[in-house]
Amino acid sequence: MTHCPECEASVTTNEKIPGEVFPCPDCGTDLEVLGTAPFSVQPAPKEAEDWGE
Amino acid sequence: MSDGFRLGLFVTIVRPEEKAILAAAESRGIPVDRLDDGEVTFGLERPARLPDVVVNRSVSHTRSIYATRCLAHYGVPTVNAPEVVELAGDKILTSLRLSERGVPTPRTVVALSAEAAHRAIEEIGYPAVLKPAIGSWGRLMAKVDNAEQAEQIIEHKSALGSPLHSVFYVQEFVEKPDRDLRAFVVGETVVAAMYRRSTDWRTNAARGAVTEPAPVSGELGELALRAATAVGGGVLAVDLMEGERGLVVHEVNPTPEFKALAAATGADVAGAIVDYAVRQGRR
Repeated sequence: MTHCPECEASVTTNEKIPGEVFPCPDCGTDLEVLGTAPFSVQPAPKEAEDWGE
Repeated sequence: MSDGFRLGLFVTIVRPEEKAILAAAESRGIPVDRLDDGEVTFGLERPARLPDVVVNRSVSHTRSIYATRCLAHYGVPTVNAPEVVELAGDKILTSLRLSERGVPTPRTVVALSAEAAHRAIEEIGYPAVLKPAIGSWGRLMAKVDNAEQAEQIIEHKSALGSPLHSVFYVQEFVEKPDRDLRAFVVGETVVAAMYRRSTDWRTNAARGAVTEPAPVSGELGELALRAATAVGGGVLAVDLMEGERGLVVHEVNPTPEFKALAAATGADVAGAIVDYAVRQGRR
């Protein structure tokens, strides 16, 4: 378990993998998994101008 | 698979699509090398250890172009190929190619300055649609209903200041039902298709459109394959609209999302991508 860097809510691993992006269950900020042992997250990268499908 | 074959996955972030590709590779016994597009470096000499094929899932058009070019330089095939990434990632180049190959597509005019953009919109007529040449998810798209709106939108785009927003890609607004279509092509096969229904004129799943399966047979499948082939083929999501003149192709996406499509149709899209990539890697 770790904490959302934006709202400090508890977030848990739930089989997430490094690089995975998921919304904070409390504030909805997109978080990116930095590592799983120990579990750590950071705000996900912001959409850049050339991002797309 | 224990013959040393390795699949590379070039990523920016890991979304459900990338997790599904990783799971599909694992279920087939294929080891995966994850290549982070923010971390890798490419020298001019071929590295000693490289995957046999790389699936490009970077969300950055710029990084995708250079990475696939560098991998091609090393002799590593990519899905999609660099030429396909460059072409299908750019809506202007895609429109040109679709037109050259006789694939029905909305009327389009390109302008390279704000002054010319006014004339381009007048040429298309109202309502018109302004889209960035690069980018997805309906971001920064605008429906222009009259000259006053055109003035404001062109001014706003110009104020953004980047060269990308100094190019104006103007299309006719296609009067369509409250839905469009997405067909997902892998190689020579349309693996699945869906309707995307929305009250918003932009029917992107990323904008909350409701999805339901569509038949891949008939005109839809045939046109999707023609569009995919026109841009060079590979793994491509072809977006179509049902206009008054029949189906028209308005986008071909070279790094397509497929979570919504897989959920709507039950198709094993990730498995199809991995199987196709393995075939490319073994050619």
